[in-house]
Amino acid sequence: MNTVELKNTSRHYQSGSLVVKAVDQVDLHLKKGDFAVLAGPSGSGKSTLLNLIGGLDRPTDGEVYIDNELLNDKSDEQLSRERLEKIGFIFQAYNLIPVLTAYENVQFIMQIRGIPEKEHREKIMPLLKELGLEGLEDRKPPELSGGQQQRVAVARAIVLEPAIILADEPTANLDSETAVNLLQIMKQLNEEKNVTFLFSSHDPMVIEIAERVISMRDGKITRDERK
Amino acid sequence: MILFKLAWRNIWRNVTRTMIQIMVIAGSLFFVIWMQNISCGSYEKMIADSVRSGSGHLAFQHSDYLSERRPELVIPADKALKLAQNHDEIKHILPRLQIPGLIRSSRENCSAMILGVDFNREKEVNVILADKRKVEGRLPTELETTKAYVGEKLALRLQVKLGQKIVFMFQNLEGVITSKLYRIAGIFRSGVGKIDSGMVFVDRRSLGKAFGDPDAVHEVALILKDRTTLESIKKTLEMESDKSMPESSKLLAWETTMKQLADAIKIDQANLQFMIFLLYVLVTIGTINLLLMSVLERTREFGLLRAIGFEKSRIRNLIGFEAILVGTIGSFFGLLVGTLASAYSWHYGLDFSAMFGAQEVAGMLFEPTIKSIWNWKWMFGLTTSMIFMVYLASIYPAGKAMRVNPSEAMRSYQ
Repeated sequence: MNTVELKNTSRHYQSGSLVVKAVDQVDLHLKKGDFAVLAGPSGSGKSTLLNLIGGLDRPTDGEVYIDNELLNDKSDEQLSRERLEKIGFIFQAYNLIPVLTAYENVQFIMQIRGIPEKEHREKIMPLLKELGLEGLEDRKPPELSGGQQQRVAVARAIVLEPAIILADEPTANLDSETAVNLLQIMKQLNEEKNVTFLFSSHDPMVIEIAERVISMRDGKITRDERK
Repeated sequence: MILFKLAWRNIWRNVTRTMIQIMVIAGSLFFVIWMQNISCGSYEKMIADSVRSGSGHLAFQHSDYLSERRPELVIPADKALKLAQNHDEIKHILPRLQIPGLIRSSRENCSAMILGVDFNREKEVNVILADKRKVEGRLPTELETTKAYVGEKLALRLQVKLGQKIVFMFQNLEGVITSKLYRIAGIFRSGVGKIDSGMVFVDRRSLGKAFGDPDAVHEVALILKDRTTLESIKKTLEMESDKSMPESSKLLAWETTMKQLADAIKIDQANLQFMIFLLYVLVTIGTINLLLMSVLERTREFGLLRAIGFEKSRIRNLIGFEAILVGTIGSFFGLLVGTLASAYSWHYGLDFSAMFGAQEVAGMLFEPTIKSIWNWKWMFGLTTSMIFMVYLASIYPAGKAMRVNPSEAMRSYQ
């Protein structure tokens, strides 16, 4: 069963008289447990494709399915609900709500999902420990390093066990050591918990660790290879 | 609960900005609450002072007297007195005979209004007859039927002193010109030019005798213990007066007999309400501006919230909560300071003598020391309206936040 399915999906922008084909007639299938990267130079359409899959943007043509549910026809509020229930997001930086502590940032997603308060601690604390954030749960984002912030973002993304985690250049603002460490954590989660990851990156480290590399150029998929 | 926690922490992200917003709200609310309480106190004071020297809270008059002011439009005093004496809610009953005419001294003459009053009743109530307004001499007693109490400017014009004679010439009930001699017992200064230069107080019955009917009066002014009972007393008296009073007599409320004052109060109230409205609009505009700044600074964060599944409606509620929190804190302090300031002016009063000078409002004598009153209904109304206005101010910034496109926000606002 496909977790993500894109059928002939396009996203074109009008810039004056010019039509920019950010994503052009893309077909893509991601299976449960995939650990894939969208690779390509800047402007190749990686982030746009990630946004289409995440329901942050709407295709001008084609169809996007998450867990066999078509996203195209859904309202803004329905898309929010889909993101909350099925998708975890990790962005390049500024991933966290600055006024909440590390623990509260993870808890926040459980609260808006309506999960009973008593379940929060027993789910969050082991996860933070697993991600090496034990003892840091009461710190607010400005008191955490970039790598620690990204790990909190990972914890928030996986705490509700979504169908897929979309990570838009998650290592771009990290030094190599922190980036490797973060990638290893995500790889471990993929192997142990069978969490599906889709990255967009042009970082060779990410491309190296990924099991599937989907190369993009000018809005099209030019190569899709499994290692 | 999560929205409340997030909103609470968000408002303290920029302490200076939030404090400015709270101070603007608190300052505005303090000002309007205090102004409202002082204004209401001043209205009560104006009414209380004016009904004493004017026509009372209620007055029996001939139905045409108010509009025509002809001396022959009289009513029987005894019947009105008997009727009013049966009601405990009425504190003072003041029968008055008011006759325009000419006053002559040995040197000068001039027109004036001679007021026949029951000195024993009137001195307890009428602010013009208060001791502090006496320039010299004394107030005549009930038995001194040929003594007059004269305004200072009138005495100067007539060039008369205490004990000297004046002759009052007027038309009696039959239309015949008649005259009556008085000696000056005392001179007063009310501070109102028209009163000081044209008013004389004398005994009512002796004046009535010369007028042609010792029982005739132009009005019987009634001062109530509590002004709020006016409508019920008026209704009762009207029913009773149908049987005992002549058909030509009418019971009038102070708003009718002192229309100028009632209108002045209405205009002042309207001005105050307009000022409150303007102030609230200014606070709303200021709040929109500050909330908008706060929202625009957090564009990326709203993008993040939307990306992780926060619905638009929750974004709207979050901004609304932030506005309500700031509005409630500001309003609480505004109400607190407004209450303290009102307590001061309620207890000690504020002396406006420098501002009012002549102590005259709408032709009525007015004591310039004003004590505010507690208008709780208005105070809480103004407070809740302020919170509501601040909440309304959040609608536009919340709309902006709701329209944030998450993908653009995450890409563009670093």
